Amino acid sequence: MDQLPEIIKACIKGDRIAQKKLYHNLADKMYGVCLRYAANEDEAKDILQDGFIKVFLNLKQFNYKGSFEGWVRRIIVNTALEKFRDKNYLFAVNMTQGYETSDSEYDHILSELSANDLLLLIRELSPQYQMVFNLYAIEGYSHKEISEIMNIKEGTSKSNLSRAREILKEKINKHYSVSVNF
Amino acid sequence: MSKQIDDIFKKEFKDYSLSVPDSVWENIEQSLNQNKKQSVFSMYKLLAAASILIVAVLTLFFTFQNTNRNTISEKIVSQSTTPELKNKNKSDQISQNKIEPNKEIENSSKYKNNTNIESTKEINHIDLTEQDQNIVENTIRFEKIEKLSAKEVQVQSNFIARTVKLSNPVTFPKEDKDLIADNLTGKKTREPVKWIIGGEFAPTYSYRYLSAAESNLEKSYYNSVEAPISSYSGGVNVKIVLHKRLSVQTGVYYSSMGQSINHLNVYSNNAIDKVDPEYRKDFENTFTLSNSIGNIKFNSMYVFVDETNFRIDINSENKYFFDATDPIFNELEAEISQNIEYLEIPLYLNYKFIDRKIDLNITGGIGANMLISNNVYLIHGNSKENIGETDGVNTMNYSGTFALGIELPILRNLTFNLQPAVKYYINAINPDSDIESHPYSFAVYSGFNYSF
Repeated sequence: MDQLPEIIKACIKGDRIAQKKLYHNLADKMYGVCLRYAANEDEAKDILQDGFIKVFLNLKQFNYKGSFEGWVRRIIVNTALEKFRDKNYLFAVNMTQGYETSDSEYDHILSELSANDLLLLIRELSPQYQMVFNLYAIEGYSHKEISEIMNIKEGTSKSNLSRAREILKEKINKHYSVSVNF
Repeated sequence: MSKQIDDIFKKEFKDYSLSVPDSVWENIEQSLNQNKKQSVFSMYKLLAAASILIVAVLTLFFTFQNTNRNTISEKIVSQSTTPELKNKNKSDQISQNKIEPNKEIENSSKYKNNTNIESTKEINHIDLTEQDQNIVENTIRFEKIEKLSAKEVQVQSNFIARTVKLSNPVTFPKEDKDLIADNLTGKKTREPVKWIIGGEFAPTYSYRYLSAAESNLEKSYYNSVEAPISSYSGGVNVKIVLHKRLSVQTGVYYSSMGQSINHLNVYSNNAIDKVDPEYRKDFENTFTLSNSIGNIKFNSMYVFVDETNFRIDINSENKYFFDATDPIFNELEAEISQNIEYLEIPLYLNYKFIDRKIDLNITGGIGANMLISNNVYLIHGNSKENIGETDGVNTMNYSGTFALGIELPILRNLTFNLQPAVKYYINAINPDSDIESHPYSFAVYSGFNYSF
């Protein structure tokens, strides 16, 4: 993104062309983020839309210290989190402990799966598992951080993660006829 | 193994991007346009909030002025229900978005044939040495995918059909993680201060606690001839949210405290009827009735007789006569209510211990209570006569309050609150009295809060 500070300044002044430029620079990538947190494409578009509105309204608060993309990404993730809270899901969560298995065949299948396949799998998780898995495995948040932002216990975050991993494995087995001994 | 699952997902999604339909930008643009209009609208909101405050204060003021006590709750409650229209626009936008996928369904069959070609490419770049095995597994995989529901196939085809931009694998920059971590640890210093303004009203049960009485006998005597009263309190409050769960609260609250005085018979002073109207003033009775809060100085045409013969001190200069066999009200027919009314400026801390869709919170703090009215009423039937006042009560008192509240969302920024509260006066309200009387009250507040 060339002359990012100039574009940001113009956006703050309400320059619509600059805003459009800023949006198009990041929209596709952020849409990729939204799709992971959403249940479907409509919801992803909704998160993207609300997230970018927040980006434009809070642009003055960007302090140029970190990367701009990281800042926007954080707002998008927070927006997804708000949507999650608004839904107020009440899913029963199994407190199953995680397990460690090593299976070369299984790894192999995993490494072949495209982002599209993985996206389908991730969306089949319950909203809370989807959220915890996204935040921990992909965004790199710690369980402590997840417990704070999702208002759950650290132990719940851990068990949700291991349950999410377990479900993902099961789904891969089911969909791709791979039998893996756990 | 688990870590490997994470890594696979992380690798695929790190820089995953997908072209966004143009409709999203159109919606954003529309919202940004409306936001300009909203900044004007927010001025109206501020004015609305200010008018709630002014109307509530004026309501309280005039209520005290004419002692007509019926309307305060309705005014506060009705002024708090400011409508919120923000959501409408959003739902319009959502419905626009939903039109988009239809177009894509038409294309899905077109792209179906490309599926195998693209997937073979993926296999090639992943692992050439095990090519055969991969192709077999890949075929199984896509056979399975074809068996999935129509919706899934459509979604899958769309993704394959679209350009999947796998740009350079940039690792998540450390600064970003730091920024996220800062955000998570609550360093939200740049967030604007959140204000909440509200109005509430409560029916109140009010009585007093007698402490350090010189004699327990006296204390139990007063407890037997006095009783709690039902009254009400209400007011407006302003909260500043310090943290997502913690807020500090102040405002202006009216509360009526007191007790009812029993075992008194009321007689009409026959002397009043016998004298010339211009001298009637001289025949007003100036009894003093002692009670746990202080001494009531009567200033009325009635003659009061204490059934317990303990509390009334008759001024020898009184000129009265009455028919002892014919009370106009006996103790069952009329109530003597000793009311002390205060205006409280509270300083409370409010903590949300459940911060969900329905919030639960605890509130505690102290309040400065200014005496605004001190009257004793004779209540019979629907009429209420002012018959005197309590002597020597403090004009400034301090109280402690503890409350539990439930907050239910109504509109985006508007909530309904239900809050049982207990208030206790820390100081004895009458320094002249032998008995230390600390009024207390139980109230169940209900009202509305509006947040900015």
